[in-house]
Amino acid sequence: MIAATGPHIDVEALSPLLALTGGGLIVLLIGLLRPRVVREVLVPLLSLVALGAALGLSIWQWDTDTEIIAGALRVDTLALALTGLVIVSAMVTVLLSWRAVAPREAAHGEYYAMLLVSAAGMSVLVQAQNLVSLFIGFELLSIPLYVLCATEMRRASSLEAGLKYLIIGSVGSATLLYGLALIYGATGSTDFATIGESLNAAGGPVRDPLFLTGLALAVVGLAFKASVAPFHQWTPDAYEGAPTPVTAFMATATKVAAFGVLIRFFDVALINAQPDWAPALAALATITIVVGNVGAIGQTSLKRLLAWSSVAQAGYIMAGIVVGTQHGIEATAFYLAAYLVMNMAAFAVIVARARETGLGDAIQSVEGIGATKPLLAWPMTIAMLGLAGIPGTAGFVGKFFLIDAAVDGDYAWLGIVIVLGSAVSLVYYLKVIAAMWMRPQPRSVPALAGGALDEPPADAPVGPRAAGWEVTAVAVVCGLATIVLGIVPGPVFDLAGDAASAMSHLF
Amino acid sequence: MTTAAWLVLAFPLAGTVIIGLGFKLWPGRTAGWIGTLAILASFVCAVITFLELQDRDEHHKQATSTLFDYADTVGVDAKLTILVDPLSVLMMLVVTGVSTLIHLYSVTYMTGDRGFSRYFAYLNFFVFSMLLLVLSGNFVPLIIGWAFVGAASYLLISFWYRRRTATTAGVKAFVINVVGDIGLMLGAYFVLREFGTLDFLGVFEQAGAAPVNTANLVAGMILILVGAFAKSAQMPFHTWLADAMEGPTPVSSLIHAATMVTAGVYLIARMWPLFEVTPAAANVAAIVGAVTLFVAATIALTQTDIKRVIAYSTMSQIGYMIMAVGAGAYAAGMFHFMTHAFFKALLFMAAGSVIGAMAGIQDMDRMGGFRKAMPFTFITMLVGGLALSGIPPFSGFFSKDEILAYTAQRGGWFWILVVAGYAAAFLTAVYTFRMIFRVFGGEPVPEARELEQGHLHHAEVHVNPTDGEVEDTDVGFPGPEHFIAERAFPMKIAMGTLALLATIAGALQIPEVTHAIDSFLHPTFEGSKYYESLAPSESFTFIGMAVGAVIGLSGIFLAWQLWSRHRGVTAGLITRLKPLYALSHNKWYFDEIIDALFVRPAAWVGRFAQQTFERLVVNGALVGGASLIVRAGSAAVRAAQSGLLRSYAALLLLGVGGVALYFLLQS
Amino acid sequence: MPLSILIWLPAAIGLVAALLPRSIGPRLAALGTLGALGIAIGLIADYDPSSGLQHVTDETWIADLGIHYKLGLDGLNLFLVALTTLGFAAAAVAANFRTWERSRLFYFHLLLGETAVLGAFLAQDLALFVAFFDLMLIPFYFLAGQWGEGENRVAAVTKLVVYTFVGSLLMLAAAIATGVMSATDGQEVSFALSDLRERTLGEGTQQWLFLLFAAAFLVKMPAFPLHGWMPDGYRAMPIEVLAVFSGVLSKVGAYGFLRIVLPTFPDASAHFQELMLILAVVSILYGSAMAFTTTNARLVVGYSSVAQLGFITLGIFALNDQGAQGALLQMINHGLVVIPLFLIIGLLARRAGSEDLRDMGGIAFRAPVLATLFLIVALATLAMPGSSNFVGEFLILLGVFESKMAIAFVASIGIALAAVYGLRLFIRAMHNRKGAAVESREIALSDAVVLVPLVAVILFFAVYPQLALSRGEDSVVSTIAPAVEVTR
Repeated sequence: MIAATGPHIDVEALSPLLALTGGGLIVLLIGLLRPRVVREVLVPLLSLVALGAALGLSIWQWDTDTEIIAGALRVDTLALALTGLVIVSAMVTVLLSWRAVAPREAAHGEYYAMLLVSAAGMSVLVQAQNLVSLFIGFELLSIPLYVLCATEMRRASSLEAGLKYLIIGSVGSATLLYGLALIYGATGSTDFATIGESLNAAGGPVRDPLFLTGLALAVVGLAFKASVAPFHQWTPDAYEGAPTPVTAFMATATKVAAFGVLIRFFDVALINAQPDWAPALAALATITIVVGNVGAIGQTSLKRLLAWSSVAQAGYIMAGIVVGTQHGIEATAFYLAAYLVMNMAAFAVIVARARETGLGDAIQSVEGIGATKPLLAWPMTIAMLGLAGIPGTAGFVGKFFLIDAAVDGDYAWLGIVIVLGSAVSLVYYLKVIAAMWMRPQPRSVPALAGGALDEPPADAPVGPRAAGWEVTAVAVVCGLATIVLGIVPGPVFDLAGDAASAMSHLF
Repeated sequence: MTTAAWLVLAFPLAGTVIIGLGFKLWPGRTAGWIGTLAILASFVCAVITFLELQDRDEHHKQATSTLFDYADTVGVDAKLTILVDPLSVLMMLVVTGVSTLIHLYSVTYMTGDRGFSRYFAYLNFFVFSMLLLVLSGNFVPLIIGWAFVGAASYLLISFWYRRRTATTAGVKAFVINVVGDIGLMLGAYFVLREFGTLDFLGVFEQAGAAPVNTANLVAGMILILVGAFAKSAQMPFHTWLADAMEGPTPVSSLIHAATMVTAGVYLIARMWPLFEVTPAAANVAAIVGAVTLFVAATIALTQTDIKRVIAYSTMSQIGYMIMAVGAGAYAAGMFHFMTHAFFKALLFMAAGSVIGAMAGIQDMDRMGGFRKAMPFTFITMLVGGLALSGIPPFSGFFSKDEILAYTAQRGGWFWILVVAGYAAAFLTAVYTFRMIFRVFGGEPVPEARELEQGHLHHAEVHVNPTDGEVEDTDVGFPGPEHFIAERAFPMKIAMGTLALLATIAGALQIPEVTHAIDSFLHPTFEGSKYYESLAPSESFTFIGMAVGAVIGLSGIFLAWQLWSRHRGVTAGLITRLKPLYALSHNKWYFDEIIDALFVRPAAWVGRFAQQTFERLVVNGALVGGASLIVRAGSAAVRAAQSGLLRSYAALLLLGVGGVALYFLLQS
Repeated sequence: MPLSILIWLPAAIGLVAALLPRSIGPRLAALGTLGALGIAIGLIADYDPSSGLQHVTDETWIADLGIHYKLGLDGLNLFLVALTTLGFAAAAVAANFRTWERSRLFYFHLLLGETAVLGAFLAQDLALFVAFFDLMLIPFYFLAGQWGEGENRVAAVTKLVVYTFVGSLLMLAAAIATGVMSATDGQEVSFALSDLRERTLGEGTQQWLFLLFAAAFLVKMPAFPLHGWMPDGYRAMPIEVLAVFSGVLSKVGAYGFLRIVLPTFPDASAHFQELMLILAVVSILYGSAMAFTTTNARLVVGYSSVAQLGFITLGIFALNDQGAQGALLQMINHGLVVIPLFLIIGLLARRAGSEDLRDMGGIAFRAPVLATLFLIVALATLAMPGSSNFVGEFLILLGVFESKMAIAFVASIGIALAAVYGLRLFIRAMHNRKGAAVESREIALSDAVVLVPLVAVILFFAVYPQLALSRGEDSVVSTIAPAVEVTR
């Protein structure tokens, strides 16, 4: 292609993305200024503004459904909805990071800039409908995260986490890239739609080993990001090592992005091969549910526990994609939203307690707070019940929806696997609740036995201090949201419905 | 007429409630008098009912009245209905009459017991239950009354509830009675299936038309018999009765002699239309009755506890009644029920008086020579004994002989039953007078002498007569004082009245002379195959009576020889007839057999479940197993989570390989 | 509308009470439960047996999933609702006479529990039922875990929750499957019980769905051999809480069979009839055997409940009117006796200083009133004729007798065994020589305030069970009609 005329660019549709990247650059520059107030207040504030702008723009764009940049990206309700989720997650992360140690150690500017860029990468990923843009988005979200993981430079485990994540992540990226290349080779196109057609065409490459190998590798590559077993192993280490706000971001936003792209990749490009990949994904989902849930049992570090739980949750969400129906996508979208609020509530509490006790994320840090800190105890309780799928919380409705979709798509047995997994998950979710309500508050001294000592306290340099009102606020709001979503899920359902309607070729 | 009948029910219930609610308020013997009056009132109402019934003409001597629907749903018509007819009225009269006297007796006998109010509340409750039983005109209220008397009996058996012997005896009685209730209930199911109603009259009307010996109905009636046997202490459900003697003596006299234990007889008589279409079941009743009356008589020969002797004699006498009603001699059965109520209640009261003189001791080996010390008691005991042994002209003579004569009329193998009956009659006379001679004859024991000096013996240390454990005299143990008829007016009146009745009641039914009972009960048994047809010929009757009288007298003579004239020869007999003696003395080993067949296995199952199954399966396999799997899995997963990149890489490759393999298989 | 008020009143009061000062909160909570009881009595008063489902509320809850917020009252749940309110009222009042740390939270959980149970009984939409059914357990987790007894109560109650949730969640999956699969071509997915009853599922589908539902309900009851959570769980709970847990929550399982399984899976119910009957009989015998060998008073009652629930299951799977009527009545009866029974055991334990029968004995000595109340309850428990429990068992066994005679005979052994463990409990506690540490004390007024009304209710039903039977009959008959049809 020698044509000098670049593709036409639809700025309106691109605006959310621009806002994010632009915000990133500005924050980076402002971060260079000396005054403390600028760095510690203005930078986070600006990042919030940028994110807010992006969110506003996506809402403004809500009804559009266009391809931009020569069909590299597709801006539709699904993309916008998922972008929205990513942005919300990022905003919460900013709030959690505000008084955290990480930004201070790795200059504020860089920290927030990378956060924004990563978010931008995610939004690219959920919009990508071309193998190339997919991969770009993929890397754009990953690389900043590698760094963010390591931002608590004084803490070995943070660095280790970053490094591990980097290495495994690159292996994942490599696999993905390989897979994409092979698919391109087999179908002769990088465009999802075209790929779909070519698979549809008589004598298409559906049974072509080349294509299938590519498919396999791509599945693995994406499975990495979604931390689907058996490609989940970086998750616990990275989650535990990374600064808690970053963990929160990874746990929520990355999931959203990863599943966003899975939806597009499988339900647009490869939908005609669904009979081929669905069983494989179902199998992976089962493995993930099992591994995640049994792995979480007996963990003493809350972040590690949540890491395993997030693996299990990924397994549940897979069910929505396996069936390859609009219903499934709706379920996935809704569950991602529910999952986001529940996890954010939990992580906010972890941050708060880590700061208050200096015990890091050891489960002891929340012991006995039921009596002393209801504003933290209740959100955590609700979050745990929600993740376990107890009625009255978003988790119940979400799971109901997922199982509904699974049964609807003739994967009833997957529904059963989900519920059995949830039953097991109660063991460790209740453990956290028991710690909060049914154990006395420990004499809070940093020198503490058990899990805490294996992992040096997250905020060691500073020691016990105030949690910060914004953290508590996040916890409370997310906790409430969990309940509200569980009782009046209607509105969010409609959004999810719109999002799914973007996949008009499905039923 | 039914109104009066309802009042008969109402008074005892009211008595229970009043005494129960005010148990703290009643000073002294008030509770006792309230109870006695309640029963007296109920007796009066019974008499009124009786008179009203007599006013009616032959074919309308039957009335029902329904208070309300108890459980009337999905084809089950359980209504609170009473049926008033000659049979129920006869029962009513005897029950309320005897109860009144026994209440009167108790007012003194239980004085000083710390559970005085409780005692009379229970006793009134028992009378209420018994009346409900005899009055109910529907299976469900029948079963309810049936169980209530069982419960009352339990409460009174373990009235001295701090005695372990009493509580265990109570449980035994209760459980065996529950088995009876179950039989009755299942029997009712068959009847309901057969006739579609639980209402007596409804059932009886259809019963006449029903085919004879249908498997369903026979099964049903046999189950009903189980109920009757359990309540009337017939084999093999009899073992509870002897232990029931743990209760206060008036209780034994009322419940375990005069009234409750005869409920089985009433039931069979009441169900006659059903039993006449199921002869098979009826025969079972007759045979079991015969076996029981004989076995019980042999056991009574060797018992040394005075109350137990009378208890086994009760068992044996009820055997006669069951045999009678089973063989179709309904009037005879009911007649014997009545006379027995009189003389057996009397015997127990007399025994109670003796026990009072012995300060609670019941062992006959420690008694003797009370004749001078307790003349009144001696006379009454003698009257009762003569009636029991069937010596003319005492009441028992007529009723027992009528039973045997009528049964003989059935001919065929019924003769065997008759022979058993006469044999037992002989034994009866023997054991009765064994008791009398041993208690009243011979050298006076210390207690007797003390009494002759005019001082009633009182024990310093109170002990449980059964196992000799030391007791205090507070709630849950017998009171400190004891009473004898000679010194307690109420007891005297009660015993005197009964002695009179025991003597003359026979006049109601002197063969060829009077047949008051026959004609009175006739309306109830309208249309029965046997009621008239069984009447024996004149000559036969007189032969029978003669034989009966001779047997009775010779029995007494033997007893006199063994326990009065040549005291101590029995010791030699015992050694010579060792096996027979052991068999009798150990009550034919029924307790041991039942224990081995039911109690131990049940307990073993319980222990097995408790110690083994629960641990290994319920918690082990099901709970432990599941959690074990989960734990193992979590251990494995965490082992894989080594934190070492190389191991991750390895697993990663494995995963990639797996996925790739799957997809390639598609091609 | 009145039903919604009834359901949410406790939770609302509980929330308010939790925010009020420590001195008022508990009192208000108790008043709240009494209020609910009042409403329930009102509902009984103006209930009209002839006109099916009443006070129906039907709002769309989650349109996309076809889930409705549908409530309704009929003869099937009328008295169970009353029982629930009575039980929680008794528990709340009884609890008011004790002091609890963080008392307001205690009552919040207790009343939240009441709301959940009432919801489960009144729900006429399968999804809604499942939601309440699962929610039910959580407050009790907190109640037992925070205010329970014993060192390892947390482990015990966790075991309880996880064990029962395995069942409940399986039911969740099954419920969704029922809704989705029963919606044949073009039909909107609906979970409304009335619709599910119309839409018939294939035999095979019915069977595996039946098993999943059965799992949930049998665990909840609990039935042999799925009672593994019961002993530890029961020991862990505060006695007042245990009273409602055993008295009320266990009925939801049995109720589920009647309300959901029989009408929705008639063919499967008929297909698994023998299996369920045998399971029930084994529960009866096993529960009884355990009950007369256990020495812990709570567990005696716990295992006796296993046996009693066995009878109820027996009645339900007789698959005829008599059985079902009896089962329904027996649910009420069992609740009515178990609640006071546990409260009494609480009193006994305070007098003997232990819940072990071996440490008791002779408590009746100076406590005739307590003894009398206990005696009445005990006799009712062993289904003494003249008690309403007897009527229940009479109908149940009659039902089984009509459908499977042999099983009726085996089951009737259970009655005799009940007599054994019932009296054993009473005698070992109240009679015989006094236990070493026993201090025989008459009940205080505060205890009587709770116990006497409960016993009065027992006596009332003993005299006039017809009240419940006549109100229940039509609904019961029509509800189980599909299953009865199949067996014909």
